[in-house]
Amino acid sequence: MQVSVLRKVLDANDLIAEENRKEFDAHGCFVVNLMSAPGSGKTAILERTLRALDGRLTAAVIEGDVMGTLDADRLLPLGVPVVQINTDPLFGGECHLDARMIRNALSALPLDGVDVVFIENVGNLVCPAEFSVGEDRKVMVLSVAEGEDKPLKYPLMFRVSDLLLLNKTDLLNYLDFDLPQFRANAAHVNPGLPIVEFSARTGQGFERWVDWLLREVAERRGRCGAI
Amino acid sequence: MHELSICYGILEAAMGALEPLPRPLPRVERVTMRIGRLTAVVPDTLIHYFDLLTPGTDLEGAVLNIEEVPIRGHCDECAASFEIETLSFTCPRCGSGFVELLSGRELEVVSLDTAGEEVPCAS
Repeated sequence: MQVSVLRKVLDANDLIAEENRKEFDAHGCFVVNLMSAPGSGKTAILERTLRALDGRLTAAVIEGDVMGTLDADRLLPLGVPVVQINTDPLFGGECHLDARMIRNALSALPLDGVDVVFIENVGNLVCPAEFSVGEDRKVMVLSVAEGEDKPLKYPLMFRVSDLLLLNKTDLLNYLDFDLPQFRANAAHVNPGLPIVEFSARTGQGFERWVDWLLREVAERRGRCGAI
Repeated sequence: MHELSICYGILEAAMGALEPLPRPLPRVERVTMRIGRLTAVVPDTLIHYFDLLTPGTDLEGAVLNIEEVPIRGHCDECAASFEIETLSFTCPRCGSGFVELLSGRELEVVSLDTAGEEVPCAS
């Protein structure tokens, strides 16, 4: 005999993600889920972004890593509230952040007066794309050293992202990275994906990125009716 | 890489469907799920975890049966529907990039097959 089930496996996660979103909405926070492979520069981008936003937007950060507090330690001197999540310090841990981890982190992160929350996901081009955490936008980072073929190898993350920061462009002269080919590959998978040529080191692309953030935060305020 | 947590989700969904059934529970022979080709899930790894996690539960002895779902798109401009095999999300008919996904991201438990007598539907 067959018993009908028809249940989405990620229903439980999506439900908690929805609760997180309501919590963020209640505080008028715009939330960015920042995803990339390990080493593509997420934390460096955050360091520079937090400095650039100082005095313009109030930010908070949730750091996701398998182990350790290295990333949170880097951001703490910037005077921004940071919560570090370790996905599993004992067994190597999960390869992504899920909605439950974010919910637990929220108890340690005061959201009053916060305009924008950056969630730095665990470095991984595959799994984080599958799990919603209650974010408004998914922003992915790809560094040019990773190669122009990545959209074709990891299509889901490119497909679900709302903005791509193509980082480490200051290295382009030293690499064989084919920029037009990369743009074509990305357009194959997600033709509407805006790509910002970017360097956390030189600051290239920062103006566009900060403008994007300011615009999104303003829109979020309009939607939520927050002051 | 996250198949273990996905597998816990499968067990939760399947056992949730067994909950309203009268005891003693019938033996579950098969759990059928649908996985879209665009999901970041490795079916073989899922099966491996399923076999590790089910002994001692109401799903002991059940086989995880996975139906793959192709990636299908629908063009917003020319209304064509098509299968996406090469991971190019542009419309093969008119070249538009405004393509909506119709399928390919499924990750759902569809049904359980139980041994023996007929059991009431657990919807």
